[in-house]
Amino acid sequence: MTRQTTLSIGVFVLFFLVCAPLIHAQPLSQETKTLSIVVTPQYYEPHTTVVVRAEGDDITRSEIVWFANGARLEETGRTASITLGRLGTETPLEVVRITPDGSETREGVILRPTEVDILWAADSYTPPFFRGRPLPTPGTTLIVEALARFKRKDGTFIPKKDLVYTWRMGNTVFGNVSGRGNNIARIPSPLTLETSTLSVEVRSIDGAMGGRAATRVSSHTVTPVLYHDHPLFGVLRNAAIPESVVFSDTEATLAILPYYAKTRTAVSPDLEYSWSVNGDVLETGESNANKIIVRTDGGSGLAHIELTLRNIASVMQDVRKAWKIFLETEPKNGFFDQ
Amino acid sequence: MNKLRATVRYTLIGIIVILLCILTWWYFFLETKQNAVVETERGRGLRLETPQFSSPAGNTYLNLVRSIPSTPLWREAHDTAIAVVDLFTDKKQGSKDAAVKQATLWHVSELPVAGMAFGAHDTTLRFIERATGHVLEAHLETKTLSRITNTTVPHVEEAYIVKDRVFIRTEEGGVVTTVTALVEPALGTTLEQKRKLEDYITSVAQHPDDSITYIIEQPGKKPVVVSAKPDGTQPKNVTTLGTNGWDARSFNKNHILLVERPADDVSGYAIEVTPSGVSPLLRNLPGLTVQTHASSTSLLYGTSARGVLSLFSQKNSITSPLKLPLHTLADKCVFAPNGITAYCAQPKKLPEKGFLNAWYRGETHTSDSWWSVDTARGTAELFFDPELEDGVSLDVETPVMSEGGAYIAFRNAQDWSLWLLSLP
Repeated sequence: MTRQTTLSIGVFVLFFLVCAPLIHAQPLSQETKTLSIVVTPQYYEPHTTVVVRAEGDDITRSEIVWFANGARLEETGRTASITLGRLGTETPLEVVRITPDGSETREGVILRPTEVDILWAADSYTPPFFRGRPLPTPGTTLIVEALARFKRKDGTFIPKKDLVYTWRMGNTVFGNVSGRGNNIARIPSPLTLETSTLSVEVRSIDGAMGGRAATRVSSHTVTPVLYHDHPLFGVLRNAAIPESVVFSDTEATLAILPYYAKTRTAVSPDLEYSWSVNGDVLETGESNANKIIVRTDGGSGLAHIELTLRNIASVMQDVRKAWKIFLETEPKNGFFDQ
Repeated sequence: MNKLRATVRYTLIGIIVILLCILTWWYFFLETKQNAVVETERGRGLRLETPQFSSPAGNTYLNLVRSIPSTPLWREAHDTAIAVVDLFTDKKQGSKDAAVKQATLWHVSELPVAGMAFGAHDTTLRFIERATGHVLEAHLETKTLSRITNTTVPHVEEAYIVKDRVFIRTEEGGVVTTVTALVEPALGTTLEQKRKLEDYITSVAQHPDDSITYIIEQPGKKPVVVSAKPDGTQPKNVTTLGTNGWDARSFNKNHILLVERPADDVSGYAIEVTPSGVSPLLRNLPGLTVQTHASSTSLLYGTSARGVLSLFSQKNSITSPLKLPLHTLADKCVFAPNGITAYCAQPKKLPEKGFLNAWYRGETHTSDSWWSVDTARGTAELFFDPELEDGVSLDVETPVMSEGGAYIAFRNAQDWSLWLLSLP
């Protein structure tokens, strides 16, 4: 035996001694790593029923046993369903895979239900005392807040500063407003008159708990509404003036309230009201640009009013509207006495 | 001679005829001018009814009622009779004929009112005039009015009355001002101990213990929920909100419920403010409107989704909600003192899609009938149809129940006038 042959045998023996066990152990190692539990839905609320599924090698050929809260479940297949407890409860779940050769592999997760809600309102204009929601229009901003209730087993809640928030509109992630403690964010309203899904994904810093909420947000149009500005009662916001009306007076002050416009007040430097009555352009004062006075000199008359509302801050908010107002001299006693 | 006499006679007759013609022309000429003068003077506010100085409701109130036609001053061109279809008159849900006769209506104030509340023992109803801010009192038995205060506050947008205290809310240039004062007839006819609260208060809730909760939405700042003594003193920040557009309500004996302002098809929340923070009570409901009961956890809530209004009752946060056989807003409902019975005004015609937004903007109105609701059993019974019984179309808003449960006061959203319904 030459020295070279001896070296070759040595290398082979060394290779055999070192690698052979590895080659043998590989399938076992793979089996351990590939056994996992997939929970559907990914995030779950209290008292909901979730479906759990075992994933891994030899799943179809193996016997599957599920344990929840230490008790064996009746289901023995690859999937099982579990109803979760109230907020703050933990449901330990374990799956055991017994392969045909008798080897056992275990995998476990702890299910912790959470609650996440999205609150939102646009920064668009609604008049004071308006009882409805400020709605988004192109160019406005949505102010959104996530209310996440991540309750620990000891009854305490994870504070919002220890939660990581990821905000999305559709598939777009708003990275600049997402992050740890960012439960409140400002997100641009949808640009077109479409409906988008606003969502937030919340995770605890350690990743042990997570939750998600989503809501549909539709973009609206700026809605200028015409009202009678009564000398005694003020702007009668309860009774919008429709497109064609008969006014039982020879003079009336009319006021526009630009619902959902990108402004804080009805009269602002950003809003440009262009009025015309019967084709004649009207000049209004800056402080009451949203108001006009229509009158007839004695007899009855028709006022064809046209309004073009421009928003200097956002070109997407321009809107035009027209009304026909017939002023009649004979006083009537109101809508229901005709 | 005879010829001369005849000539004179004919001449005189001719002169008389000419004079009569001239006088007739003069009469019509003056009449025309008189009408023009009357029109001009009426336009200037003159030629109104002779002012009265003897009304217990106050001269201003009576003279306004006599001189100003009911609002609105306009009517839709080409008005057509609205075909009213009572979609919900179901014989199984009760015979209206028997009950209708017992409920009665009283048009308490023809003028727009800013707020109202019942006095103790179901004998009086106080309300605040929108034009003047005067506090008036309606005596329910005699159906008479008397004026309590004559301190003038023009253009009152919203008002609350809690026993002898009023909260008067006005707006100028986008700034909302809230003033509270005492109304003590024994001390005189002025608002006493006036105190201005913070600016930009968007909502005020009164609790049974007379304390108040209000929300301040100052531009550029986060909304703050504040609790204070009845006169607004000792304000204490309760919590801060991330979004704007909330209403404060009192429920379950001085607890605070915050309700997101509604819009059609937009998810709404009602959250309870607790010492440890906020806890949602109603979650993710489209077009959510809520009515609370002051001394229990009972809730009525409505939803508006895809053009359909639905109404539910919920006893507490644990029990499942009960769907009621009514299609209306919780804004048109009020709880009876027992917290189980509720009274709801339901539109007689099914509202169209987008109704909630349009109704809040004053672009649409309803003609409602009144229903009695058993919130525990989930049943409803029609008991009064104002259009059928009194020939009036009423769009009910801000209903208020009297302490003894005998009356409901509400505003007609069409003209903000005040009505009283005596329950059967």
